[in-house]
Amino acid sequence: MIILNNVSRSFIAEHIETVALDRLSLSVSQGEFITILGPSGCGKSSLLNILGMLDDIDEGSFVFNGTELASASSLTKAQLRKKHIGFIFQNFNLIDELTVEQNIALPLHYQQLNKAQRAARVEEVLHRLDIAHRRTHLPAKLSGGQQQRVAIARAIVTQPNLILADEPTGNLDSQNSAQVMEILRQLNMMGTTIIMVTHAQEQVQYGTRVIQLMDGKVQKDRPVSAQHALNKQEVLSD
Amino acid sequence: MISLLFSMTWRNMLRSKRTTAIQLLSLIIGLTCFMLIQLYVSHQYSFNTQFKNAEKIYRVNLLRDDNRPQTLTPLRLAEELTSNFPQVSDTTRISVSTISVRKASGVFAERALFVDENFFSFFDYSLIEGDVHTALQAPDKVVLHEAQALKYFSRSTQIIGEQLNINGKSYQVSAVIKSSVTPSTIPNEIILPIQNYFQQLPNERWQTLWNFNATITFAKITQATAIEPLTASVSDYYQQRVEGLSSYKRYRVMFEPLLDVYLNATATRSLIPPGSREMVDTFVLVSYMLLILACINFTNLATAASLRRAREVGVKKALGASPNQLALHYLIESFFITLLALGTAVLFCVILLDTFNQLLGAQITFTLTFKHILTLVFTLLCVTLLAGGYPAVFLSRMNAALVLKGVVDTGYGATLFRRILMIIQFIIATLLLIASTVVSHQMHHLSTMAQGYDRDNVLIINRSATLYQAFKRQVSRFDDVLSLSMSHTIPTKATRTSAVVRTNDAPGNEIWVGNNPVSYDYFRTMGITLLSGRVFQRQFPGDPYFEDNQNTENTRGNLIINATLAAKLDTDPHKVIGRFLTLGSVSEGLHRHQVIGVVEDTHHVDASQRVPPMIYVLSENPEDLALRWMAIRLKAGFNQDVLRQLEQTWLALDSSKAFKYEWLAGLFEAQYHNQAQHLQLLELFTLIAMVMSVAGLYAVASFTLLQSLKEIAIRQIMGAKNWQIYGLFQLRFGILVLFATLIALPIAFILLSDWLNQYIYRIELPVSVFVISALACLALAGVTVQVVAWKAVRSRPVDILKRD
Repeated sequence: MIILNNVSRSFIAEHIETVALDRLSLSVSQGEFITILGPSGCGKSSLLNILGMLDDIDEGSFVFNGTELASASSLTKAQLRKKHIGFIFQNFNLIDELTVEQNIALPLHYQQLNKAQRAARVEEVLHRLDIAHRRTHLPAKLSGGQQQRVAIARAIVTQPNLILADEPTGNLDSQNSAQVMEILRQLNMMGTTIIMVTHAQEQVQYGTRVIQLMDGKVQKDRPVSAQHALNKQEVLSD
Repeated sequence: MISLLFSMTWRNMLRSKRTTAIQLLSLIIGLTCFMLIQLYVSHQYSFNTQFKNAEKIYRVNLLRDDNRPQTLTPLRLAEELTSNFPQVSDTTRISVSTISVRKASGVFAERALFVDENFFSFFDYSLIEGDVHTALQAPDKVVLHEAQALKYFSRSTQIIGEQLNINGKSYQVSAVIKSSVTPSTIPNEIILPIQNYFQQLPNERWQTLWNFNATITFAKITQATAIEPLTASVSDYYQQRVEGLSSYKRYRVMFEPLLDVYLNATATRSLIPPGSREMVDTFVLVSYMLLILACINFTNLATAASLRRAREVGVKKALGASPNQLALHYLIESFFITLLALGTAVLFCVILLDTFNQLLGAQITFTLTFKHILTLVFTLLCVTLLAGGYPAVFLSRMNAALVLKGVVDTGYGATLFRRILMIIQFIIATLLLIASTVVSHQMHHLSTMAQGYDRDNVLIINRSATLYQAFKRQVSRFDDVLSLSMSHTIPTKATRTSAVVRTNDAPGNEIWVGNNPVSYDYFRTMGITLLSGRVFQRQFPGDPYFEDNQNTENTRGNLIINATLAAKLDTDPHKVIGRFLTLGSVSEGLHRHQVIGVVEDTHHVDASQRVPPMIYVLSENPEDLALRWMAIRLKAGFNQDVLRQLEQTWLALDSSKAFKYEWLAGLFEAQYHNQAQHLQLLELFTLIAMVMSVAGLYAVASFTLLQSLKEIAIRQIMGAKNWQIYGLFQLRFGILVLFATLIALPIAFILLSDWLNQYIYRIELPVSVFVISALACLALAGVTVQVVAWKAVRSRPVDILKRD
């Protein structure tokens, strides 16, 4: 699904070049749940932004579903993004001026779905994430956990096959964190590829593969061992 | 999507009320001013457009030597044009004179238009009643405008056939003209057949004179391309016939399109005071300036506020919005705001139109025609693009990856752009401030400079020659009447008669002079100071001017000259007394006259023109030399009753003539009326421009402050004094305003020097105005920034750092 080959990305601020990604190579297959770990400044978010096509690469090759993106136009990227990718952010990034319902429906507008289709999809995710009773509220009226559920609803309403989550539980307490991780795992069970950046070591257990970044390079890349992984059967039978 | 965008825009506006208020108010004020000025401009351009054939109608003006063109032409010109020039398909004439209309309620002085029978085929007014084909067929017909019908008959219908007593004769109403909102240069006066005008002439021969100009001639010419050759051939034709009849050398005609007559304003003696294209153009410029100020406020605030919107941009991009989609969305948002502002501005226009009309003395109406709606839509789109274009591009091009990280790269480019816009704002504000101050100084100079006569307490009465002697005898006894005189022309009216003066020592040297025949006591009545010699007096039998038509050389009479003529003769006012000057023409005979006095220069027309050299001759009887204006000087602080007494005396002498007077001071004010109105308007717009610029500065400074709160807090903790923080802020914005002023000053200098140069009597460009205006702008900006900075300094550094 995703093949990164020798990808580099650096930022120049006040004449000092900071290397965020350094000839990084990585491939991701459909259905994986990858947890990216690493200290601050190791390039986690940069990698996520590039995978989400929000940022460009300086060198190397980035192939998404067979399309080379190294030199693609912003329009091509915007189209691929809205079709295949859902985002979940640490600080939720809901639009303050829109209600829960409107926030969730927003990506559907960009996909040019008609009103009835939009309503049906929104309705479905509202119930799936148990926030239907909050549909007319503005984000400011919701708790952190609720806000992140809305953000997840917004990410999955387009039925993407890739979800990029940037520290999705970073601003949540442990109970809400567990809920969010559970939702992500269920999405993965149903076939959605998930790439998640986190600081929390214990969340590794939800995924299928762990990538450790250091100084813009992959330091370790290993599958989650059986004893660490939660039993998939167990979840499915829930 | 639209409804989603709408609710987002609306909630966004509510969330930042101050920004929204400044953005909206600027746009509303800018658009209101813009629309009012545009209404005024289209009103100014709409003169005579109501006439169906307006494009084919031309006014024939005369050009004599290098004088300004004049509208009055010989009475016979119209007939000559139609019979000798096939390109002219038809002509019509309008002459103007004062009439007295007698009704049971009293005698009313009115101006009347004396017109040809085919008047309505040129000026196709809609009639309330009557038939254009027969309305002017007989000499005793009269056509009224709606307002006059109401005045004399208290109704505007069913008055055909009613009688109206004019100048002692009975006339029959034959048509009533419907009042129109479209302005025209043909004034709405009583219309009479032109035969009645001919009867007022001294004798029938005047109708055929080539050098008696008494009517405005209009010609219908179908082919616009014919104008140039026609002008040449008619000019030659006219020159051949008029040459030698008066002292001018070069005679030409010009055909001026009826649609240009109002704004061209070059011709003298037009039917209504002409407009000013220069003023219209100035206001168009000002209207665009104000609109640009409003758009700049919008753009500046929208990009400054992008800090807050940045995250939204990032999210939308992450959700799949393309940059173009986002740009379109932000443009639609600007469209909503502009629409709101435009709607409010239209409402304001309707509400303010009455006041605006009063200010301008105009009758502009606001009707929503298809064309108006089209203009509004066009304005809406333009302003949306102008105001919202940059913010839309700016926001949609933000790097999503960075803004989602919370890094907003406002970028040097964006900051620079905002600064440039602010500089433009202050350039406009400073320019307007300097311009309106200088214009105001010049206008003040014109109306207060010495005019060479004393305009207070002087009554002016037109066409009173027949009553003059008897009237003078009776009213001279009144305590409040100081003196009484008649003259061919008076200050505030053009000097019309011209003559050539030669001197004995240089007979080839011709000096063109204005000639004003006056009665005894003229100089006393007008308060014109005698510089040397004496004025006309009864005990000197040589004073009265006597024209000997049989033997021109016997023409005699003493002269009084003005200071300009004395200067032209290269002498001191005292030395010229007793000298002889030669008048007349070589063809008709020359005659010599002695100079007995020199008086100071008096301004006859407004001070845009130089005082010409003038001679005054004495007319013993007003009828002799066509004296037209009576002037009465009253004692300062006169009793108001004297006016009633004057009227009674007047009506006792001739009850068919209305006692209609004007104050000389009023006539003087009227000359500067338009300029004074325009000045008021300019001052108002300057004020608005200043307020808008300051509001914009305030808002942008506030945003910058938000960005710099942390910096200020850290500086405070490091021990910065309050004045150092203030200084930091003042410097940041003060430099911009200073820069704007430095650009505005030379521009203002060039523009205003140029403007002042058109005046002969002008102020020197006041350096103080430039300095004071520049300082005022700087001070205003300083105070604004200070208010913003004060808030920052007051907040506790710890709170700010904690918040961060």
